[in-house]
Amino acid sequence: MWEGGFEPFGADYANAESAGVFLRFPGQWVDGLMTEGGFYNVHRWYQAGTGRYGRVDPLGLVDAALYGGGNFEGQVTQLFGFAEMNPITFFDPLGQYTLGPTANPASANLDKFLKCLEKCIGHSFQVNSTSDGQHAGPDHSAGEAADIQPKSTGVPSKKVFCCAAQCHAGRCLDERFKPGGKFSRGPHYHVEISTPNRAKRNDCEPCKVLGPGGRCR
Amino acid sequence: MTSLVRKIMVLWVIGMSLVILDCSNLRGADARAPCDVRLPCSLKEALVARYIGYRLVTLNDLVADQRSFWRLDFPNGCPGIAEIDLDGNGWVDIGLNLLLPSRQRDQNIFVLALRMGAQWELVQVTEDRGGPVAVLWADKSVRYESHEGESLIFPNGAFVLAGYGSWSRAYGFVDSELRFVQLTD
Repeated sequence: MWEGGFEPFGADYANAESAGVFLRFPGQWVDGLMTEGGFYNVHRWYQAGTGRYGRVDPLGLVDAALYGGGNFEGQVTQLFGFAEMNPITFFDPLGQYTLGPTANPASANLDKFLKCLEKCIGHSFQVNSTSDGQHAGPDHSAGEAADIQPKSTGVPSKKVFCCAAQCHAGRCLDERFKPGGKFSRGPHYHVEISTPNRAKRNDCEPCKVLGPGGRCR
Repeated sequence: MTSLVRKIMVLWVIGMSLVILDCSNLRGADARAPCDVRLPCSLKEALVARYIGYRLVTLNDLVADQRSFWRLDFPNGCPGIAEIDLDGNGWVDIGLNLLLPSRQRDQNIFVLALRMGAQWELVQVTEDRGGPVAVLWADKSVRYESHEGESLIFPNGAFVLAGYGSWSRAYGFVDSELRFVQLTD
């Protein structure tokens, strides 16, 4: 029987591959025939030794600039980083948006929507919750809604909701600044891909002003 | 008196002292850490019998952002326990936010301990459905507005259960019925 383990950023210290253990972090796998010297993660290859990807985040420099805090070195390293550089707490199944530590993976339709949303916004975000947690609406339990938290407070809600509409969201709610801040700590947006008779409040905005390539500004 | 009898008496006194210390009331816990509370004996016995292995949620169960949010609002509070006379019967009730640690995924439930004199009625209000680890506090507001814009009045205040960055609920009594308002979803 193979006995071994992995370091916090995924390095294998007990020859797992030869024992037939190919899975790595969520969304990653290793295969000697199909490799760039790292673990395959759909969009990018991950190198456990450095805790970084071999290619930049496909969402581009914008996200890295937000994280780097104006420090160019920080921007570059974050472009290649994995799961907020904190793999013990966060997951990064596809090399793009991150799942919160206790969030269920998104359903196929929701995942497609979230990728579209992230691409349109141009900033990555954390998904705090999908079908898990004490939600009231049927959308969460059906796996058709997510609570997302942009990684920068500088992302205007108008842009998020414009993008959500462009990605065919059914409904959006801004749950950042609800009166009585204690109730809504952890600023976030609720987005969902269906509207089963619950469109009473909907912050999704049709895109009126389009930037280059037809994107929301 | 033989030394054996003397030893037995000493052990008995120590044992009784521990029982008394372990089962005082919540208000005696001011000088200790926020989650180092001593529940009333009868409540503790009922909890231990029904929720084997569970413990109160503490600050250590929250991730860094969540701990910051909690400390901002409740510098001396414990996210696992809160007190308020929820049903208005003159006895302070206790809300318990419990966690069953597990290798796979911790189980997080909310239990309401309603007091009537020396008796406690335990009501498990939520079942575990994953998501952010919940925090719990007592809130003395009367009017609560749901995320859909509807309002509900809890004359005696409410227990608020929240998963930071996602959902929050207020639980209270309307007449003699326990109800909740989904504050964020």
